[in-house]
Amino acid sequence: MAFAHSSVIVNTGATLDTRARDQLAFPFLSRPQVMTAYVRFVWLAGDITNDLFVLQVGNNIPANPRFVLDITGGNFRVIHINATGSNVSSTTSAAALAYGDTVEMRGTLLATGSVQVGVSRNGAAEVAGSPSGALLLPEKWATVLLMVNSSGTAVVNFCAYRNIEIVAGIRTMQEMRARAGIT
Amino acid sequence: MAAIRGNAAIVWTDSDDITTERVLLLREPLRELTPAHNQNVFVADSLDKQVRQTFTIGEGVDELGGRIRYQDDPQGLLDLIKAGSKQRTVTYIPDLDDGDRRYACLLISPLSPMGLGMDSDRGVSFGELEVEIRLRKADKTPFADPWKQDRLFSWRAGGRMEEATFSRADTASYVALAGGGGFGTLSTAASGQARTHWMSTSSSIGPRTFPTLLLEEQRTNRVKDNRNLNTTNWAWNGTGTLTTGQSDPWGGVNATLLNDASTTVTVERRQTVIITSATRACISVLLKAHTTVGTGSFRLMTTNAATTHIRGTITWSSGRPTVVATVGTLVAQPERHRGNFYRFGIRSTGNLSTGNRFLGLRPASTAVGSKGGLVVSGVQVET
Repeated sequence: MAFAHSSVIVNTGATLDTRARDQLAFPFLSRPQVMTAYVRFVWLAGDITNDLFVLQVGNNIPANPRFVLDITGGNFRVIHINATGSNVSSTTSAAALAYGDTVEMRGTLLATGSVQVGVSRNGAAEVAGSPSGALLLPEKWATVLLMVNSSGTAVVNFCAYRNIEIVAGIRTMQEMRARAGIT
Repeated sequence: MAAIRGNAAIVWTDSDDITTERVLLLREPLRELTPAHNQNVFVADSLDKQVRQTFTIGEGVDELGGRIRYQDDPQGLLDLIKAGSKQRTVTYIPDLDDGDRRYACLLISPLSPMGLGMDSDRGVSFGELEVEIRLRKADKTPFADPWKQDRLFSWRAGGRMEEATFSRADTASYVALAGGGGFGTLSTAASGQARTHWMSTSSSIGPRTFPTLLLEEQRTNRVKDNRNLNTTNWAWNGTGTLTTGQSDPWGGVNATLLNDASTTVTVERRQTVIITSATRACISVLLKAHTTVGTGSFRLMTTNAATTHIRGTITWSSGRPTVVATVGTLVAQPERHRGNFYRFGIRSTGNLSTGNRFLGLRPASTAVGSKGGLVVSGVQVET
């Protein structure tokens, strides 16, 4: 089910018109390793119970292994999925997320394959989810791509992106902000 | 003496050697990095310097200057320079712990003949070597963050996207900064063009102060003639007046003035929209206050008026609207655009069944008194 919200204007003439979806992928050559992914965006969507992707390391279609930051089931989530589809994830509530909120989402991947999510809204203190269990890190990701806002043509989100940073090692929210040039 | 970390290398293949690959292990990643661009640019200035013409050839190339320090493999370093002089491809790997992050380059300098110098921090009579090199990426791609060993990816809104793969099958709107005092001019991006979209913080009505990259799922606007309300797709319920050709937030004249001067009835400009699947719906609209304003409203309802799915009222103070959702949920507070237009949206709280609905815009919501007008553009119903 689509969820209505106020997307950017689609101009029409005498007949209806449709704006197609945006799809974006950057090359990402780094292997699976201990790392921290940080994304800052303005939330423009509505239904946080749908699965909406923010960032996907390692693929442009739903094939594995990959490392994903998304919003699903009413939660912010970081999930690490191995080649056979087994996964571990960490979540924190996305309740009361409002149109126009600035969201900073931080996902960490440990050497054990364990993940953890942390989220700050509108500059407030970070709220972190519980660390996940372990899952063996793969030798390589499914593809050398960093998909932004969707997974191929699926789970397409509505976001206005400001920063994306991925750094080797485990970094705090404050450190990632500094890397992004915010503080 | 402090330990020196390494974990970086320059590799190359040279058919003059019998090994598959030559490796110069660096005891430090390249230091004192200086990114550069190199292109042939021919410039002609007019005599009064007010007119400049440039002629460029191609797009040029990105280059990276850096210093090799503490080098204890003098023959390896000389062989690197010899390979570069023969125009072999040399590949810089800033972090051997992440070997696929590498930069295939040409060595621009130094070339033979040259002599290596001593590293001043490691002795001036006996010790290790130091040389400044300059690398060129000939494939028109940049050196993406080679200066931070631990930086795997970095991008900020408005930043380079040439290496990215982007697709969108048609044109799309976005808000540009130029024009309108920084409150945002609506613009159209070409098919396949990513949108740098300017915004203000949610607590600010503007001006817009930061760029973003706008990425969206596909959407259909179920309103026909969404800027020209003087077509057969629209009709009055009651007798109002309208004037097309009003200035709009695109910097054009595609807005429509709706005016209600009736002293007996409330008038409404309507269009029948078709809901094609059971889903929620959202009305959004660009509005500007007319010289005389009343309490306006807009709504989405069944064609027999039995059920209203969305209803919002608009009151004005000094040209600035306050919107209240009396039915449905206000998606966002009014967002200001060029020309004193404000955009806001209200969505239904539940799913609508398929079928026809009336979309109605009322310049004034009372039959007597408090009459006025609205300048309308960009009417949208999305599902």
